[in-house]
Amino acid sequence: MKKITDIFGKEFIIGIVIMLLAIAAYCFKWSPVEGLEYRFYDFGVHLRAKATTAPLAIVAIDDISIAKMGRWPWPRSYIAEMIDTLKNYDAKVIGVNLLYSESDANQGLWEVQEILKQLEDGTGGLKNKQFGELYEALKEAEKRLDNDTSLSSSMEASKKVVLPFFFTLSTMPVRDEVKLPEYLKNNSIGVTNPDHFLAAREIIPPIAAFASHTAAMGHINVVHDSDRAVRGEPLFVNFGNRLFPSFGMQLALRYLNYNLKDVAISNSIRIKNLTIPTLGKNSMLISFNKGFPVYSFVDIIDNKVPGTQFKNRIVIIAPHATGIGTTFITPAGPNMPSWVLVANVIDNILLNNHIVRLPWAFYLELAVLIFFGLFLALGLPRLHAGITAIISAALFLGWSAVGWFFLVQYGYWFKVTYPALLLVIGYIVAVSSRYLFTERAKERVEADSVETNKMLGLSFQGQGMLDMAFEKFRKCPVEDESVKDLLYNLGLDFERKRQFNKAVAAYEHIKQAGEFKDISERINKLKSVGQTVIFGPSGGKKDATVLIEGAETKPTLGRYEIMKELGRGAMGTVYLGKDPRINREVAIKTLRYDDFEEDQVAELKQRFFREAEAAGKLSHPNIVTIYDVGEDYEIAYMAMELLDGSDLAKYTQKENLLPFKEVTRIISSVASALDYAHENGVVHRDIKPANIMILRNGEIKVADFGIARVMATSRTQTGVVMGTPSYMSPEQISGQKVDGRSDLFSLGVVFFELLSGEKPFGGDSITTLMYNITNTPPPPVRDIVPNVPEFCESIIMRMLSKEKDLRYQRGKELVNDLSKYMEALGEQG
Amino acid sequence: MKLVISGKTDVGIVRKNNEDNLYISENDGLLVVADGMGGHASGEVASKITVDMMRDYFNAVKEGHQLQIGPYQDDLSEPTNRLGSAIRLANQAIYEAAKDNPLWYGMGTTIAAVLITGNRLSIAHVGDSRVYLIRAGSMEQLTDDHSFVSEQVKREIISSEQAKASAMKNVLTRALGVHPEVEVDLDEISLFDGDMLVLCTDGLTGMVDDDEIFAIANTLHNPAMACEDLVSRANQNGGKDNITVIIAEIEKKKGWLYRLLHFKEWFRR
Repeated sequence: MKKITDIFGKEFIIGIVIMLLAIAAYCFKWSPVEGLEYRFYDFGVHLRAKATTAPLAIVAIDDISIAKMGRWPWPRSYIAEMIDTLKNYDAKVIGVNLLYSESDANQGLWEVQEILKQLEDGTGGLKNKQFGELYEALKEAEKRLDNDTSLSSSMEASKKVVLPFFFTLSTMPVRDEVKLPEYLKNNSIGVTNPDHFLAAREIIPPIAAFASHTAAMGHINVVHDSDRAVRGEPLFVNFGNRLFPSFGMQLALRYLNYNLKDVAISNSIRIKNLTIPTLGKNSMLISFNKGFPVYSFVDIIDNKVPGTQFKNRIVIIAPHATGIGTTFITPAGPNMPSWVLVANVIDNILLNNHIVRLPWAFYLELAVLIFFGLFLALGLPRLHAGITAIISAALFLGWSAVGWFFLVQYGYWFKVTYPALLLVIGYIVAVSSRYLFTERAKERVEADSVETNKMLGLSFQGQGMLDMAFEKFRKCPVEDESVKDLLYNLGLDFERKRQFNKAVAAYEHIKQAGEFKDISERINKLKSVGQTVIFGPSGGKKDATVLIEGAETKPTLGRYEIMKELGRGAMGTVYLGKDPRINREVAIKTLRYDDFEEDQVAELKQRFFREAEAAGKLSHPNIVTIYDVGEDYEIAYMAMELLDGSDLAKYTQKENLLPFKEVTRIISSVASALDYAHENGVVHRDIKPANIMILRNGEIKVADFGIARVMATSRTQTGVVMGTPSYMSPEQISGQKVDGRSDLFSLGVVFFELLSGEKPFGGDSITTLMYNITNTPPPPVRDIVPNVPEFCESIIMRMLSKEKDLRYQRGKELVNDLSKYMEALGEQG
Repeated sequence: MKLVISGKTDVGIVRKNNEDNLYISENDGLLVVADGMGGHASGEVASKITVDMMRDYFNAVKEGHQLQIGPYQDDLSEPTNRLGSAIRLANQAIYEAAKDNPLWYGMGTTIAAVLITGNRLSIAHVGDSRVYLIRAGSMEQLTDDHSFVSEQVKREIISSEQAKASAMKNVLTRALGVHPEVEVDLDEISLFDGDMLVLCTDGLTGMVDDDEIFAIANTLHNPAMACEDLVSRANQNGGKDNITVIIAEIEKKKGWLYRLLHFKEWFRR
């Protein structure tokens, strides 16, 4: 169980998410990664390049030819001459990689034809011998000047010429049958599923004069990848629901003495026994080779190249000069003339040397992606950092090497980049997230986490606090096997303590998550036992106090009956008591001796009674009346007036501040109580809002006179953790002798706080607080609450003087001052 | 670093029960002393919960549970933060136990704990139990008591002589189990060969002067004997409170001749 929860850790989720992202990128061919993949592919293709053995020869219209034969474009008769020459050399097929979509525009020819026309229209002039000679000369000139006709007739004569044409490609293809000239139609085949092909909306064919005399024609359209490079050849283009083969394809077919009827198109393209593997849209990946024999046009014209070089070969006449013809970016290089594509297509087809996407390549890549993803999700979090680094590196290199090897050696193209990138990025993310997440985990306060609860529960169980342990364990997921174990052991503990119903509860809690060990048996057994035995006090609280619960008579302290517990104070528990003699309810404060050293108890008791007696003598309307002190059951107690009200602590909050007049009344009442007490030799020592009570009827009562002293000085053991000494006077802090003026200082702090809701002396730590009390003057109270009359500020300043002598010396002085000012205020207002 | 550790706790002469507790885990390099307080012998419970929780926490850490309780202090090392977390967890345990059990109302405990990780020492404490470091012939107190008089001494309001006589000398300003959250003082230093650590509760420091503690620990150079000696010394002086002390000594490396003869060990590191 634990293992399973571990598996679904953050690293697992990160690994899976990255894997899914990689798969998504892979499926949608995300261009940045696709670009990387192309780099990898191009380099592989580059390494793969071999010297060709295909029967090819290139006649290049290169810079030298242009320099020697005149500027481009040449008269078409030059090409005608070349075709004638090549025909004589027994070239098998001649591909003229030039587009002849317009007739030759020849001003001279038109002029000559015009003159000839006039001559022919002229009367009998032709019979004139001189005219006749001129006419013949002009006829000759016309023949020489008419390049189109000469090229056309060369083509006709050779019967080997293959010409290119061009499509305007479109995603909105012409679907309807287009009326095409016969010579075009001959160069196409019918289509079965047009969606598998590139589509065109317009065809730009050679002029009819040429086209009708070609052996075949093919398109020279190319398809760019997303990085503008050309890597494949669309072998067929769909135009008007007819498929037109590419130029290179046609040349190859011609060479093999096949025609389009011999081509079968399915998932791949088959030419008799040759199979051409294709990718989407029936394009063929080009494996770029090198070493094609290239001859300069002019050299052939000048007979510098032996004719045997062309015998039985496919000869491509193509531009290969700067500024002529289109160039392409290919894996073989960035500025490749168009014949490179054509030549390589032919080479690939004839030598059956292809780059293939195997049909199962997709599944292999997906499988590798998932494998790497699972490695990231499951392997990384479990293995040692060093080992994962080594394994990751090995997987990365291994996979890349396999990819390279297959591409270079067999031409099998696997998209290596996606899995490789998944591995690299996943590894980086996982490793850095491990760091990041642990950092975050550190910051998180896991106060209520499962582990904390388990540990706290175990701790409580160890202390025998089974109920609390149960409570903690209950917060843990019970499905967890270890939690079940904990609960089971707890149940056993409950049984041992004969708390059978609780044991049953624990077992039943386990049972929520299914059967576990022998809990069902135990539950049944315990339930039957419970019916007979459970009424005993076995599960009851073992309270060690003397006040035994459930006793028939009410417990007593002295003569007081204890009704109930009211709360817990600094010295001990406070009970609600009843004086049976006069039927008066009283509050009984107790002092537990067992907190103190034995040798101290006597002294403590003595001091307690002395203080209590002194306080008990005080009789003032603003002082809580102490009726009685006594000792019983080793507990010293103090019976006092039962007050119906609350202390002032809550009125020191900003949102609960009392009205200004009420505050002065309280301060005045306390001051008069203090004056009376000081007069009688009792110093309170612990004036603070919690010790000043305001009753329902509005009366103010000061409680706990002198108690602070009893408590503070009587403990030698590690005892009290004090709160912040916010109300202490400077002399209390410095441990000097304390008198009534110290109480007045504390009252000043209370006054300040009741008015403003803030304490005059603050500090992050006790140290700074103590420093501030002894050294820093308090802030003017009117800075915080500006609407308080000015006299309050001066009174508080005086009360909070560091020097005792500068304060009010008696409470009475404060009472007088306050009433004087309040009267003046009353008269004003 | 090789450690020699010994600890001893004693009820003292005056008190009836021992509310102190200690825990030593040589494998984890964890040393803890705790001084419990509260009525009905609940001090014992508080200090027991504390040392048990420290033990359980570090066992859980070893099992791979990285529990962070309270804020993670980036300026401190991982082990030091672990130590702080353990103490905060103990605080929670005591607080909750006391809250739900009337008998244990108001119980609490001090704690002084160190964690030795390699040559780094993490120090944590709450209350007036102390950690001393004896190094190169002098003793230094590594902890600041969280007590009222200690604050007074720090502010130079009273002298340390006056502090010893102060009526408030047992009033703590911080303890475990009193509030739902506790601020733990954390620190860390590097340890060197021959260093000696002394962890003790106020039962020792209240009865035996620092000079004497130093003299006993430093002359004996034997943690077990030093612990015995310190406890009996505290009892001689009155033994008013429970006395607990742990002494850990980091063994000095051997001399050059030894190292030369056992040069192979050098490669093992």
